[in-house]
Amino acid sequence: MGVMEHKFSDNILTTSVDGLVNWARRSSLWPVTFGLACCAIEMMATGAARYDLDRLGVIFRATPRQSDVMIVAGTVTRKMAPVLRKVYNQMPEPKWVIAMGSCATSGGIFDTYATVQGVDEIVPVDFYIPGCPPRPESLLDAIVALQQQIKTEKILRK
Amino acid sequence: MSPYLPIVIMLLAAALIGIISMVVGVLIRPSKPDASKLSVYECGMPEFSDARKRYNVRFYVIAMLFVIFDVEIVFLFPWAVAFDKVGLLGLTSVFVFLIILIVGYFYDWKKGVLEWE
Amino acid sequence: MGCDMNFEDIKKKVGAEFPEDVTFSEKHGCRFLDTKPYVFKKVLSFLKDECDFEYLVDVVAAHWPKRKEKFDVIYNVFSITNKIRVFVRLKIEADSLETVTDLWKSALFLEREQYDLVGVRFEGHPDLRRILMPEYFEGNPLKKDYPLKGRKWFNETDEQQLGISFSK
Repeated sequence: MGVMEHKFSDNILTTSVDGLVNWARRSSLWPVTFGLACCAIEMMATGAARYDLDRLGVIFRATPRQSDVMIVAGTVTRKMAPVLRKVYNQMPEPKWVIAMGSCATSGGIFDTYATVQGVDEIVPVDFYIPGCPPRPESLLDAIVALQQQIKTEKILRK
Repeated sequence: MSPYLPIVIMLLAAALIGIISMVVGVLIRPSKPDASKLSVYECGMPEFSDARKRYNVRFYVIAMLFVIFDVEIVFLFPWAVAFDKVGLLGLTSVFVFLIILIVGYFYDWKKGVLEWE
Repeated sequence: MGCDMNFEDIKKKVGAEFPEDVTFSEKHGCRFLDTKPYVFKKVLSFLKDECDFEYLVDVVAAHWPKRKEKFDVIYNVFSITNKIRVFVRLKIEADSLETVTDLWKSALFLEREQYDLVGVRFEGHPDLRRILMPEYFEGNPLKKDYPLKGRKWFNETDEQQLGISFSK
């Protein structure tokens, strides 16, 4: 938080400001769509009518410049790895990463010559979702858990 | 109270809202620039060429025409508001003004500037 | 260029043009045309011009490490006018073959794929380079002697200077 990060002790003012900023950040998590393979279909299903993501404030942005979270959905190969890292680097702070599905978590069933064994070799991951593909309820669970984590963050307080 | 007071208050409020939100943003947001974050976005790939290329001059011509005729419309607004007070003299002056600009418009038309292709 | 409605007409036509060099078979519902490598391009251009096989669907190469003819190359050609598909098979010893890009433009990508994954060179191809694997990759993954889990990460090829490196 620029100039005023982690400088103040707990009092009514700093906790209120932190609560406000955290509420704003968690209620409008905008992901950069990194749908690579089959998990992207489940991500689209989660964004569609039945398991609506828009009610959580999630609007899928196609650009890293305006997004908060990167949902890596699908298999990452060696050729795609620098692209993934570059898009992650181009996201402004604060940013989080959700690794969706077995391939993003650990390479999945593809223990082969071209597949990166887990996207945490390239970017720091906050939440892992197992499944091949994970059901939409699992992705919703991860986004809600991320929202709970953001709720407890300290910004002005040290 | 002067009749311009509401306008002054509105301008002040607009300026204050803008300034306060920008200042609070500068104080609150994290700022960690590095070379990779500031690089040009080309879907993760290294960029091929500079985005600044040559483009057709008709975009500039259209923008210029817009500015000229927009300013003409802005000049017509006070005449429209004070129409009954300036009478016949005001009407003829404005018509002279309009005719000068319409001659310019016909020049554009005949020169083919209004065609896109 | 008559309307060859089925495989029999094609067998007659091709058999008449190339009497000793091609053999026909039909297995699992697929029609095969086995040809000798020195005449395969003439057979393919005959199929394209005379029998209306205007669509080259796929080029597949298989590696047989223990056989004398190391590579098996199969051309999957389809005729849209006659709705018939023929697999033209040939076996080659060396790993290079003539290109068919002058007959079908789709061979541009299909032959690049086989060059990348199996290692068969196509002489005369205008732009023979890797298409699926990254450019700095060494080896041909779909050859039978390439290890399944043989992972080499080429960590020093950091093409965008991002500082990524892999350990697993």
